[in-house]
Amino acid sequence: MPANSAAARRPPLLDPGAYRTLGLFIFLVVCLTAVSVSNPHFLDINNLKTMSSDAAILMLAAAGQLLVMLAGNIDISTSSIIAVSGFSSALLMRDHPETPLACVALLVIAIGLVLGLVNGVVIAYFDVPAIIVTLGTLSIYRGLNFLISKGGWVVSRDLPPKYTEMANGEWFGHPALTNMLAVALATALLTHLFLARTRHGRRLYAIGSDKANARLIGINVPGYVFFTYAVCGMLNGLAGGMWCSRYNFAQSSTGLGYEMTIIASCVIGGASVTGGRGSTVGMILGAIMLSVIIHAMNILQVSPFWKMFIQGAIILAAVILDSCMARKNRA
Amino acid sequence: MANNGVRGKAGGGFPYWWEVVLVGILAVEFVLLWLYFPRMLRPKIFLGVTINFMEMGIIALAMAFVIISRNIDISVASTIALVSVVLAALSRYGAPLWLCILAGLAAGALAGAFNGLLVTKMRIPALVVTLATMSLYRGAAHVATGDQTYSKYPPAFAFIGRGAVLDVPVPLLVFAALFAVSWFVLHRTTFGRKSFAIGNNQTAALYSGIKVDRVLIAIFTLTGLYSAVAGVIMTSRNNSTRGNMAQGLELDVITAVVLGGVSMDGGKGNLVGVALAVFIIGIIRNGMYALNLSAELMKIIIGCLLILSLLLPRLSAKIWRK
Repeated sequence: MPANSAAARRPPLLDPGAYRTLGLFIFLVVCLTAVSVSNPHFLDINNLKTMSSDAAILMLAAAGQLLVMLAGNIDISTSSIIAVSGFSSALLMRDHPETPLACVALLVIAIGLVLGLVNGVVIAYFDVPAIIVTLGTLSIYRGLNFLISKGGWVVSRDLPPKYTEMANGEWFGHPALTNMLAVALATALLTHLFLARTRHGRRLYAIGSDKANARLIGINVPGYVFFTYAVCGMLNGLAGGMWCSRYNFAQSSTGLGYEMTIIASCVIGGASVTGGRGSTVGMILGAIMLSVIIHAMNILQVSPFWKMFIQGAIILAAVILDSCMARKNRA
Repeated sequence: MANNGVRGKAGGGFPYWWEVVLVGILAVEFVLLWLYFPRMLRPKIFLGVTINFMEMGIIALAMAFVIISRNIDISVASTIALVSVVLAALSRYGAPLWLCILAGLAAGALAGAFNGLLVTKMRIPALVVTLATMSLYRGAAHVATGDQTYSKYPPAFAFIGRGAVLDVPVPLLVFAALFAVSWFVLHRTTFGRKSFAIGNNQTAALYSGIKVDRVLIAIFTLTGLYSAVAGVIMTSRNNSTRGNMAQGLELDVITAVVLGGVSMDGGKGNLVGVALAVFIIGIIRNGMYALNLSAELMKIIIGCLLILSLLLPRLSAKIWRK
């Protein structure tokens, strides 16, 4: 770099990642203000609870996706994992209402783990493109859920009252501070510490940046990739349990299409789809932002058919913005 | 798939005699049909059955180009919905049939070109672009149709999807024609060679003077166009346009291409294999319909088939190396 260039003389105030975080934060504040001006009930306690619950489940699922994406892969089977684990937890509760909630939580995590492991083995140890494999397992797991549910549902009438406590249990008597939010925040904190403070986290970034070089410096690439899918499966299993417990309802089509929302919140938060870039803070802001936008669309009575279109447009806008910024930095 | 610049063929793709295996699988399927559903082997009935999977076959022809050039397009099924919505919109306003179809084909080509432009000019991986446009196109179709079904097409339109010439269904004829054209382009023209070259090593292709961006945009536009053809056929066959039509079709298409011996590592594949795989999967699907299996069970079976056909070449490569 020439010594007299502007960039060399005056280093940027913040690194690009921080700009993005700041931008997201400002966008979020503007969004919240705009919607609450047009509809004063937007920040009511009920709406806050809806948004915090949406964001909590999204954060749980996106934390797993973030790990997978950092290592340069993707998992689009997550929505089906959510469905299978959620339905299984509801079935367990319906048939054995005496089961302690801890066992239910363990069950959903275990189911998520098993489904994630299948993805992990095929992708990590056979070196097959992640998108194709998880496109296959997206169908397989969804089909599995139809087989478990026989196309039916478990409604709240059949479920013991404690089931819904798993997600909706309140902290400090405040309806928006739920168990699922606490679990999600704890998970996000752990993910952040793992990524920013451990060498294993750094290695994920290394793998995502340059797989071949990561292998050359002695990183066990398949091992780490396998690990990210296992964790992603577990977190999505947990998210599935929380999902069904939150609504006190499980059906065969739970979370259909939700994988796009999960990926969108990572991409908005600055995670690169080719790997090596992304942060937990960005992911959290992305998840909150999407939850706010989706809920605001409901409040402003936008037709639900717009949701899919807008999600696609948001992902596209985020990656195009990234690509433009990358080009500017290179120039 | 080590990123060590010069990628050897080891570990990628099926062995060259894969087409023989495919013919074998097809033969086994015919024997099973003969044993369990002998009626389906009557020429007229069998030809009639093929219309159920010609949309998948047509898109698979273009998808082969995409995967050979080491890209992926998962927005194809959403493109079908988008094209069908364009047909419906024009037909509602009383546009003549040829104009509706032309506009539908143009919409598909545009959707594909948009993918191609983003992949090449913006340098965004095809996987992300088409993942986003999959939602975008499908979302647009949903926004346009709401939860309505449009089915007031003129009677003449049904010929494309359900008509037949000398007992040969029109979709099969379209597939055969497109297969001939695509096979010639892929295996006998410089465009085809360039597609293989890009899939083998994009950087090397660029340095050897291939206009990589142009070829890739053409390939994505072609995929959009073929999806549009499939969309017109599907709309005509069902005589309806719905926002969720063809949902999940990309799974069958990609399964057919991978099973057909096109390597996910790019640069390797044969359209004959793809066509054989289209029939293999189509017959499996029809067999499953005949057995009254639920759609969900079919999803599981096709998904497993996809993963198996991804694993097979890796496993066989591991065994060969020993």
